[in-house]
Amino acid sequence: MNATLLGAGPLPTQPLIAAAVLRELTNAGPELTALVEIDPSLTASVMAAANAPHLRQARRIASVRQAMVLLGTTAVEAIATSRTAALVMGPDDVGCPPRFWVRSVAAAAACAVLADRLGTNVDEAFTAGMLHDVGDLILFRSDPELHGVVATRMQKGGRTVTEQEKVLFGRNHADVGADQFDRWFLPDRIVRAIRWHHGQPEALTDPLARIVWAGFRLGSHVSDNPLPVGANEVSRPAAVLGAIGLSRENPDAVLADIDRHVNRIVALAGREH
Amino acid sequence: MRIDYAPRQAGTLMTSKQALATLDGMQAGLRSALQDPDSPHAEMLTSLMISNSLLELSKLASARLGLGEFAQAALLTINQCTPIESCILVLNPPGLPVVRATLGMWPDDETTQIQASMPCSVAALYGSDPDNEIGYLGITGAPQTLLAAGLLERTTDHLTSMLSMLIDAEHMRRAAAASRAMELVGGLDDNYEEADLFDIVATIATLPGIVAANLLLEIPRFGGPITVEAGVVPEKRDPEVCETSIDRTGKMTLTVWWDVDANVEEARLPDIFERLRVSIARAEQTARLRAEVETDELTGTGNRRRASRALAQASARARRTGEEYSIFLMDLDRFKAVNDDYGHEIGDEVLRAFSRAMENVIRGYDVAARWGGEEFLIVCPSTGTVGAEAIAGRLLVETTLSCADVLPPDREQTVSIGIAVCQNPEVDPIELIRIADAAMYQAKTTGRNRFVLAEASKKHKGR
Repeated sequence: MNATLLGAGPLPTQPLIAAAVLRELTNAGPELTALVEIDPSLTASVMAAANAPHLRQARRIASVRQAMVLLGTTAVEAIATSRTAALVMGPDDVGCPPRFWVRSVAAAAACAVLADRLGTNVDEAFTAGMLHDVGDLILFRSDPELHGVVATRMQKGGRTVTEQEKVLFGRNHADVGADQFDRWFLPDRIVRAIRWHHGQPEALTDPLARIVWAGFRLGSHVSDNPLPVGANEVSRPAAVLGAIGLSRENPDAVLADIDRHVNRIVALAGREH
Repeated sequence: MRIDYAPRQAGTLMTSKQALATLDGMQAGLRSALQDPDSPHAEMLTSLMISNSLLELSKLASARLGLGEFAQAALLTINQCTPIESCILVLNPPGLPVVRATLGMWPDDETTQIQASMPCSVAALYGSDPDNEIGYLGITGAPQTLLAAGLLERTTDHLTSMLSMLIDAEHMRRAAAASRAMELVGGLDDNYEEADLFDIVATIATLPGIVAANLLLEIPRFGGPITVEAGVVPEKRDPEVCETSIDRTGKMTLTVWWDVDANVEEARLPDIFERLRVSIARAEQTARLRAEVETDELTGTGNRRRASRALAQASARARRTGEEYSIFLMDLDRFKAVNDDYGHEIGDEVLRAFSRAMENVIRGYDVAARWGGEEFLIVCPSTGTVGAEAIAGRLLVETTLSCADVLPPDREQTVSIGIAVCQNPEVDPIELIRIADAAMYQAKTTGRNRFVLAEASKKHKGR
């Protein structure tokens, strides 16, 4: 099996975040830890570090905020530094799948808004949304050309993205991501939510799984990203909200809240840029 | 996280699509700019990463980790603090088994094809003796500038400075674990049960180097082999099997699986195994002696001593749990006539047949015994009126059937049963026997072949 599929190498951080981390390192600014939360690779690394078995935590850590409290600022800075260095010192000629960061940010914002509406943990939902497509990143880095074939075939219609990936890679990105996070001892509810974000909503009993299922769909909607799901799947905002028991919510109000959240993230990432 | 739903301010809020497009736009070209070979950041990042790595490794020293756990945690830390592809840490400290930890796909693994494209950097580690190499640290895929700045050498130096203390702690941890196992094995009770064996096997499975253990006991007393397992059996690793006989009839087999190339002496396994054999042999001998002392020679069932002990145990249990218990006092009907008519040999056969009838009827935790002459006693712990009546009813039938094998067809052997159900734990067992005796007398005087329940004064006619 390809080394990247086993999650051996460091996952690449986003250039904008790398630039911001460098700025914070140079100026010893207080924003460095905030940047961790809005980058999928840094989020994944910090979550893996916080759930490492040698820390012997009584319960698993489910959000970046909890992880940062547990690990402390110096450890989080060490992780941010090394992932930034991975980009700066290269040679990384692979990068990320097209619009990977944009859809991760949009999904995370949508998950946070939905969690707030449902009265569940917003931090966990944001983290799970940010991580939901890391499996896609791993597939892309294992074979960018094959990953491109999936996108091409998706445009022709027919199979869903998970079915296409299963045919071409042997596994779909939801399982690849979930298995990776399971190896890193992330909480089962996050692993489940990521594994089933392309599943059927009625089969999802876990609140976080339902939030991620809906969050990634609303995220695709607000970011104008083509939704990589089959023709029969639910994608209209009103139907998505109805499927997770929020049929009384005004879809436009929910989407407006997601817009506000995305604006804040973009402002943080692009500060002084 | 709190979401602040501030009112929308005209002109300041973009749609997500616009905002994210801005994000994408800001990223354009930034990656190649950051990867500029003349980037001013490389030097700062290099120095930060090395110092971060050493600092985070230092934190592990006080985490009270076993040597194996430490090796894995050290690699995780290096992986978190530096952009490397894979790493390996091998330790071969004196007097301890080899520890080998890897992270990512180290080229030594099955995928040798990636070795050519992945240069490995390896440096040696030293213990307390600077001349003796005790292991090595290897990394692949580290940026050249990081290697040039001495990442590997500085990390191995740092690990070397921590190793002496860690190795001493590991020796102490292993000694303590083995002592715990010895203590547990030596303290095995004469009345040990399967649960006690599980505690011992679970402790053996946590001895340094051992990941799984399986104990197989083949002792007649248990009526079949007992297997107790603990730990997770590793794949593709042959087990080590220690086998011994407990005495002439029993056998004990301990199978262990090692996680590393540890040797048996390190875990003091032979000592523990021998101590376990001695403890079990002693317990079995005690059980055998007790059985001999408490067995009625003529019938093979328990004797009066066995009955007294069972009574005391049932009484103690009732005081502890508040449960009811029952005793049965039984006398074979017209037994003197059997002796007179057919002789003592047939009389003895009838006593043995009745003993078999009792053994057939009682449950595993009930005790049957010969009280004297043709009187017998059964003690039934945790048994109230309903249970006692059921047992007594079956015994009336079973007695006739069992004794029919040794008596002429025209002769039927019956039994009169007096039952005392103890509902008050404070009642003295001797008083309970007196009550059961009175009930039995009542059964005799009201026609025999029946049981009488002393507490409820219920009567039940037999067939």
